[in-house]
Amino acid sequence: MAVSINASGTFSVVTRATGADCENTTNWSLVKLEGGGGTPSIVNSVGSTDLFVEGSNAIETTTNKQRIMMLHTPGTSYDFTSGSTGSGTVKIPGGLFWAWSTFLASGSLLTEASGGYQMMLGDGTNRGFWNIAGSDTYLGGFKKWAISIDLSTRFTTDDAGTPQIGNITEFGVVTDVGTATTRFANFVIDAYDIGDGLTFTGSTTSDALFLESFNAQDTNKVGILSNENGIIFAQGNIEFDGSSQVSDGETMVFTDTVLDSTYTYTCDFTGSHTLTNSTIGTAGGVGVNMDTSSATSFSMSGGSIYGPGTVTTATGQTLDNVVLTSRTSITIGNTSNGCAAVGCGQITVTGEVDSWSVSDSTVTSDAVLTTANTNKVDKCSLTKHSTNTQYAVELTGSAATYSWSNTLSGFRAGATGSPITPYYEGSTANGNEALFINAASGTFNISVADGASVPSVALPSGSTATVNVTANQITLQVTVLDDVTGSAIGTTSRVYLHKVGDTGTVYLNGATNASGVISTQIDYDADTNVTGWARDMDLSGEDYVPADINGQYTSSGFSITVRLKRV
Amino acid sequence: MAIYDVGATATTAVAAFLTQFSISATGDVRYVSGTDTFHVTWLDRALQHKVWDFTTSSDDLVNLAKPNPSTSAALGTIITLQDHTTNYGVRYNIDDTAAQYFFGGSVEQQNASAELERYSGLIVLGSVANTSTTLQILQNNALVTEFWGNVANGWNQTDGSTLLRVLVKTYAADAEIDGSRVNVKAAHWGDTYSVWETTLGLGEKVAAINTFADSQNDTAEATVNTWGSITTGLQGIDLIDVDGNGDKEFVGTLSYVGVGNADKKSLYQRVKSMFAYNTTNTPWGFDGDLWTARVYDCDNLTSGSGTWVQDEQVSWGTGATAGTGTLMGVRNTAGSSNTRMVIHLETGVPPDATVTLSGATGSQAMSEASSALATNANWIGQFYGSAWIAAFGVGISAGELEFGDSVTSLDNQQPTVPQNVTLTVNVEVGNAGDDPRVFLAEKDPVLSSPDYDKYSATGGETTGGTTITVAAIDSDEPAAGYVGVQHSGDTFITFYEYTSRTSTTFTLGGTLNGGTLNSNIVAADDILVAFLYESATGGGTTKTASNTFVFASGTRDFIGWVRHGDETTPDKPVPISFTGVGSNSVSVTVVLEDQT
Repeated sequence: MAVSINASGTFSVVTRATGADCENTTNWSLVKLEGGGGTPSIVNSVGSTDLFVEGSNAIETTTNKQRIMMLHTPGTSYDFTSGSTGSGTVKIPGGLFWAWSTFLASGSLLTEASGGYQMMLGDGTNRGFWNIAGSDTYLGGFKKWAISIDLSTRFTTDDAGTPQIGNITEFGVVTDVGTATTRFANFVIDAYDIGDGLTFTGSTTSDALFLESFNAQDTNKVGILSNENGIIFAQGNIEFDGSSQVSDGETMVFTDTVLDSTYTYTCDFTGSHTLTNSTIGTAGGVGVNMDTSSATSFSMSGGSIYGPGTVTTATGQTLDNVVLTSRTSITIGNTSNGCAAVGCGQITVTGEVDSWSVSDSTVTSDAVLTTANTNKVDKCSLTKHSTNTQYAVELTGSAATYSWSNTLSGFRAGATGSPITPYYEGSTANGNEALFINAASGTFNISVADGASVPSVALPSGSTATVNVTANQITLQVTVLDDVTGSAIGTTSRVYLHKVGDTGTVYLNGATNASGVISTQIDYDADTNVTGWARDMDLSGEDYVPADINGQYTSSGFSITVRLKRV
Repeated sequence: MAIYDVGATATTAVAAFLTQFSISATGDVRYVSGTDTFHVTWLDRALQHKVWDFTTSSDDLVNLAKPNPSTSAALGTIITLQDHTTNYGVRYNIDDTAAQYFFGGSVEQQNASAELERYSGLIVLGSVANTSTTLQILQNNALVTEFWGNVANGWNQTDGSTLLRVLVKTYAADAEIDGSRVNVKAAHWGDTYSVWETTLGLGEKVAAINTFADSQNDTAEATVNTWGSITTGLQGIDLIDVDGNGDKEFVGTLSYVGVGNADKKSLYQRVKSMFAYNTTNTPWGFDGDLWTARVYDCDNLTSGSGTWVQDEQVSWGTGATAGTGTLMGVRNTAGSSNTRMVIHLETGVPPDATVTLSGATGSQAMSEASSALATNANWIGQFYGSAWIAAFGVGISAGELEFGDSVTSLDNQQPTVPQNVTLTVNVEVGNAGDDPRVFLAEKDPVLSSPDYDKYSATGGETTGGTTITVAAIDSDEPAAGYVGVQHSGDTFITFYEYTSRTSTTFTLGGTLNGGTLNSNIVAADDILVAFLYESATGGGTTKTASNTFVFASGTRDFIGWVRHGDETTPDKPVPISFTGVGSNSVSVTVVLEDQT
């Protein structure tokens, strides 16, 4: 099943009211808001300017030395309150209002800040106006104008009372040329829609999820997705809930014509998705919260996610080698490898980040990363922002032994010792320590891996915690491969490794990663014989004959590759 | 009951396995509850799955931290459970109860003393006439406990040609149990019997069993068990002259006298009853259920010592040559002189040329390897409703054998049962004390008279001699009868009785004419053979005379008469004849009348 719109999905566009398609002037009226002279008429564009994009006609009028509004009264009422607490019949919490319009004398408009081009919502008594463009920001041409129904962003100077967004019955578009003479048919509206976004279901047929989604909503040539030279722009919330939805090398940009809006769209993945080298970003100051935590399966390899908003993943998902730029915050619930976070806010690690590069974090007076287990921030490169005061990692876990395998740049230098003398907030700490252990008490052993930077450590004011920092860690690593293919079997392979003659000293007891690797770091003591086994008997697909592991770790560590034979 | 063969869905089979069995932290795999059965590969796969698991569950108390439980070879048919007692305190093992729920291969393991234990796979292929048949597995002269039920129960019948698949313990405490040999037997009453020996080992080995409905076995078993004993008839090495050409050695002499309807069918069923499923009979002194039809002929024994006792246990050899059995028959119970024994093999291997057989007191060394007899699962062989095909070495009373029966001696001789033709003359007389006399001889080819000159004497015998020689005596002359001689110079014929003959010589006996020649025999004296030249005898007024010859070919005519020449009340003589006598016996009745 190809990609299609799921009309009953999380996000949708409501059915247009009579006249909203502007094929005729039904339910439309013209309101002269300011200026002298008579009130112009509202007519079809065909036979005059002949401008339209969708359907076969549009409506138009003339704005000349006046402030003119084309007003549509749909005959029903809409409730845009976030809790659907209004009296409007059609409930669209957090909704959006899109209009396709052009003004042919753009240079004569008042500026955007002065309300040259506006969208209006009214409840029959009160009207509110939102500035969308002006002579300083708009050069002409049909555009899809969009606003979120948020009273805080309207241009209150032009208000006629405060409209009740729980009971909106009027929709309008306004142009204001002040005293300029623009005596010709210049103001056209082709259609308008209201809703909160779109949900796309089905499976892709061409590894182009974004393009196929655009095509699915482009039946009348206007929609909340637009295609500009292959880049898909979104002006609404998007949910992908289909199966086997694949995007390879695409870009989707969330944008808004409300240029100074702080509106944040939602981009949810709730089905099965594979993104390879694709990009999701923002433009025009809006943000987008990208949430994959409810996805049945999600994999994003390569590509980027940029602009304001959050990123949230869940366990079992893939987020590898992705560049994250300027994200407001990031929550990693999966095991993520090789990503770069540049200019982002705080990264909360509930899963694991391996070999990440983190730099220019916008965090101030807080930690760039926060985790309950520093073992889960593994082999990362952490570079401090040039000016912001920030810890590299905040450890929220309780007293225990933790490994530290990260390299540091710009943070306060650390030292080994058992115990060390930590820095304390409010006194000796300067806020730029590498590791902030957020604990009031307990003994924390920080084992620094071979090749990692020794972290400086800060504690909360008044903490009585003891911190031991030791170095000379070595890595014990086992790689499990399929003997037939020579490739990693994956996360179903499991390894157990312990000290010979001491079954109580266990080094490895877990599953390999997708690359077939499991490793741990220990403090080197002396050359030691180790033994154990690798197994893969999950009863799904290929199963394997177990293999025993025997060897010795030295000051250089221990690394062995095991090739399991198929059953 | 689900049967999880090697091709079952892994997730389903392993889930069922882990439900039915527990796995202790020290490696004990034990049956808990359930009726499913599993190919041994699922023992390996289930254990491997559990030790792949990060967590323990329910009563399965192993996980990734435990050492390797098992290895699998030969496509999952050879499973070896691992003993990690030294380093981990874990010894993976199953017990006899758990083993009942596996099939399809072998399971090896170590016991608590680090000694080898092995459960070997056995698959029984074939078909049975009746699904009520319960297969028996004999091992080391004992029945393996039957947990599989009858064939209708369908125990591990993984395809249409499979009757049973089980594991049998073949090693215990480092000791192989009877060389891993087992015998599979089907002995369902009313069907033919079948037995198959196979040597188990690693993996799964095959035994073939096929039975058919036996139309000659239709009397209730309980009834047959009430019939007369044949135990004695089964025993010993007996001499039986089947064809008149001398004695030959057989095992026992079976007879239907006193058995059921006193016919062959009764004897056949009585012998089968000795070996039927769950029999209480004890042929040769042991439980008939333990009969495996493995019978060995130990001939040319070296003179030894002691005394052999029928049915006693015999043992021989050590190690690879060791064995035990039951003495089915012995030529001579004196150990010092015996030269042949027949033994039912029960454990070990049959005697080879190097071993000494030992009983309670008897002891004799073998001089040559024993030979297996081609026996039958029911011992006696096949019976088709009229004729026997007796199994190798089975002895049957010669008098109860009929032309068409087949027997084979211990020396692989198959004497032909003669096709006897009896000529009988019944004479009805007026008085019980009458003495009618009968003369009967082969008819002259031309004349209507006896063939007086059928043979021509070789000559040379003298008065008082006891033999008469001719060039060749026809094979269809009676074994004993009368020979008439017209001595040279005589005008009459002198009759003598002969008690035996060869192909050229009559040996005289009896009292007729003194039992010896009363005159010389010269060459070309005419000789004839009289079948009857004697009184018809009997207690009443019916008297009978008869003689028998062995049919050779064609037909023959006989001529003679009956006379009663009593001086006081003589009867009229009556001529008699038999015309066209072939392979069937004939008789005639003559009524004598007073001569008036």
